[in-house]
Amino acid sequence: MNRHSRFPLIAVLVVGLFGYFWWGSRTAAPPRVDPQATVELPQRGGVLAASLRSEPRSFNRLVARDYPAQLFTLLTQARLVRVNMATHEVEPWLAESWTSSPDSLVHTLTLREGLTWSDGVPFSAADVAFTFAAVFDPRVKSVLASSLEVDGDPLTVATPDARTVVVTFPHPFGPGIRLLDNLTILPKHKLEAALTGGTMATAWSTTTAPAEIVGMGPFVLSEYEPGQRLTFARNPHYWRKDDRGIALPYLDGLVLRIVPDQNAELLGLQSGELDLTQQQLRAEDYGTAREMERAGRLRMTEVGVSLDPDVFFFNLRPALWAKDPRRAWLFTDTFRKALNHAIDREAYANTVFLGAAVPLHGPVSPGNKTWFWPDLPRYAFDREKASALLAELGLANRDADAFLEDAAGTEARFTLIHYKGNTSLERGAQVLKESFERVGVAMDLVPLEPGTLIERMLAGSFEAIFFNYVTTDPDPAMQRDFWLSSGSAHIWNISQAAPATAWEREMDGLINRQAAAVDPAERVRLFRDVQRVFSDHLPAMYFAAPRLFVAVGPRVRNETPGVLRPQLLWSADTLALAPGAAATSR
Amino acid sequence: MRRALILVGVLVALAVAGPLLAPYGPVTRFENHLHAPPMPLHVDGGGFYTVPLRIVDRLEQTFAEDPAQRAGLPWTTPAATPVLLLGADGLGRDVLSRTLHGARASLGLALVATAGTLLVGALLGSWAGMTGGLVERLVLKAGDVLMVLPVLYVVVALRAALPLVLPLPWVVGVLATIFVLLGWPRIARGVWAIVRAEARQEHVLAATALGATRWRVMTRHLLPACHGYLAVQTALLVPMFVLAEATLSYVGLGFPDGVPSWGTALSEAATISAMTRAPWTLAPALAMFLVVLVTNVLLEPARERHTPDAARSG
Repeated sequence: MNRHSRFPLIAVLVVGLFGYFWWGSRTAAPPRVDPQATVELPQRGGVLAASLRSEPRSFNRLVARDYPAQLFTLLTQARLVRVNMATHEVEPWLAESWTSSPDSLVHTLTLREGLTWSDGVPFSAADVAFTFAAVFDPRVKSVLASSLEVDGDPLTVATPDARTVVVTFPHPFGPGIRLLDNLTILPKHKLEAALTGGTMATAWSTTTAPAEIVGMGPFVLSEYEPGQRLTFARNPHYWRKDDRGIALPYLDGLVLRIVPDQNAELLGLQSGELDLTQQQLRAEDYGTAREMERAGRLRMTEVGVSLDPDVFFFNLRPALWAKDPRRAWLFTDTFRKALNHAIDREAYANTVFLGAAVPLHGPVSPGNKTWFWPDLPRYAFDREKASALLAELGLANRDADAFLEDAAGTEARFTLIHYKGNTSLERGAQVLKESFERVGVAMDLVPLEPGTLIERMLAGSFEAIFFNYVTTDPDPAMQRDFWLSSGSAHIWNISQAAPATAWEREMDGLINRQAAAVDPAERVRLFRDVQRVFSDHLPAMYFAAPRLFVAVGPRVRNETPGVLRPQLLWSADTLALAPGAAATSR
Repeated sequence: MRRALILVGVLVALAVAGPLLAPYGPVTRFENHLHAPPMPLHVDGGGFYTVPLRIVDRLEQTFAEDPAQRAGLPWTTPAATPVLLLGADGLGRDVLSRTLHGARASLGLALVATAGTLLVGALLGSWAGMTGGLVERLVLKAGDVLMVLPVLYVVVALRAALPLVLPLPWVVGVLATIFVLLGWPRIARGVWAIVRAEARQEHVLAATALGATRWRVMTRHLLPACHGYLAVQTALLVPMFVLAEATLSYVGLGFPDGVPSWGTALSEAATISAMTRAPWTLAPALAMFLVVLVTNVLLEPARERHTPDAARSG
């Protein structure tokens, strides 16, 4: 071929490539399903396909805290009580009822009768006692242990008979039995040898034969193909029935396809390869999804306002700033207040979340109906006020550029690291940078991989971070790791031996009293005090909480989405497929 | 050679003039025009004009023309509403302006890196070819080692070894150095082969016999024989470095977000929704395609002259 003749060919190829990306996604449309079918009662049958972003590191929840392991546990195991992700209320699960002592320290639970594990072995209170022993065995180093402690002391358990479990709290704890939502009950008959032999921490690894992993969840693992998928089958001994007496789960099986990229997830949903995705839609995907919905390729649901707003915080470890010439102003409450005044939260919500967000002034979003405080003191958008506060700190423009300097000539500049690939954080960081520059403060942006960012956060090697903190429970007492100065999720200054500041000491006292109080009104009042201290000192800043939209394929029925992860699979046992679609398998 | 100079001239002109032609600043945002589509040009007796867009649904990012209004070209008559001839990106920034501003960083870096690569490669290659012996072996082996290194990993490692935040001149310097470091071996090997062959020519032997210095022999007799080869390599290196900058900036290892370059602009189009619903955000990719195309068209004759007949016919 003559070399000149290749150029038209290249041009055609490039144009063709653009055309492919533009139109390609529209060519793989799955068969359209009649929307009227959504009124039908759910039926048994069919296999549903969902996505999973990464692979589980272990199938043993005692030692694995990664999200895939949590999801695996949710699908295959069960707890004594569970927090309903849609209502956020505690509801009976393996325990059908319970009573609590007047001081709320002793809870007596009655287990359901006739329950069996997925391999047919009867379930009893001995399994609960075994699970407690495993969680608190020092050789296991269970990641669940700290979540089943109150003020550093573990819960204790007694099993007077095969159906009765008595859980005793070492200290008063406001959320009470809600704490047991953290506890996955394990089969004594399968794991007792591992616990006795000291190999519990390595039991149920990802190479364990699926038949060895038994549980009381709606599904059992039937096959794991690393890098490809996890395949689940119905647990034939699952205990739940629906209102009509039909044994749950409705689905014959479930496939979790490992899809690391959110773009690929959307394409999978579009082509019909996936029935649902693991996370809410990104704001920029809303238009695409709405088009697909109009074409009958998926259904969208607005779930509510997110409980996990993006958070901006400075490193408040005094050691980092000890020799830094910016310490005199960068380390102060006033500086953070000035920056807070520089943000137009309405514009932020419009730009970052395309309007599908509510402006936010504190860590608790309106999506958290019990604990949100609408009268939290606010920092109104006011650039003049921001500039005045910066001037109070001695910052003024002393040269020809657009940025302020202190008396020593040090520029008002800091570095923000944020997640790479998270579009709301990337756009949000740009908006923050522009907003701060408008009041003379320069901010350098550095996108990092999530793992690298977390490493830097834990090591304290950062100036400021903008990321997404995932809430696991709306009750603040269940999030004490975040609020307490000693907490491992006290992001601005992690795991302090003693509170570094007077206001953190005050906050510690308030949150401990809040967690110990059993009167709901008292708990709300105390938590408002916590939020007031937080607002006065702004260790972390919040700008908007997005409204969440989830999308499911046209085959899916009976979903009950919640705002916390996993938004759809938390109630996998009641998910169903359209009658026609249930006949086909994945 | 003349065509190579024309090419360099065209690219330099683009890099210099691009930002001057941009109607808006690279970070100027229009909050009500996120992912707004391109506004077509109309013409009537009053000259060129566009019809402003108004937002219909912010979340779905749909827009409608407002026929009651019209806006002139942004260069001639500043309009009250934005005139977005190539549409807007996800932050409401004019894609045309960002593409033009991006030309400076992307082309400037590619030209600097190309010049550096050609210089280092030609000097080392001709030195090795003329000197022979240990120098020749060292240069060629060092080049071989660099050529077999996985480029992306090397770049990631080199970039990771530097501080998180670098001043812009440093970023340009670091990227250009990395490109030169990884690019010179191929040039050196080609020049070395030509110099080795040319050194046996009678006119070179005569010059040496007449007492010409090594530098004079190299600059007057040997390197001129490499002109065609270097022109061909220019045609390959410029687009390669333009694409390399785009790749590195796209993955966050090149220019920082605040610096408009074709790579950072393309990272805005990294989602499937942006590609399908706002394909105009791929305009920097089109600009890169045009650079590659123009480079190849201009330098194709030189490439043909310096390609062996057998390879050409095959």
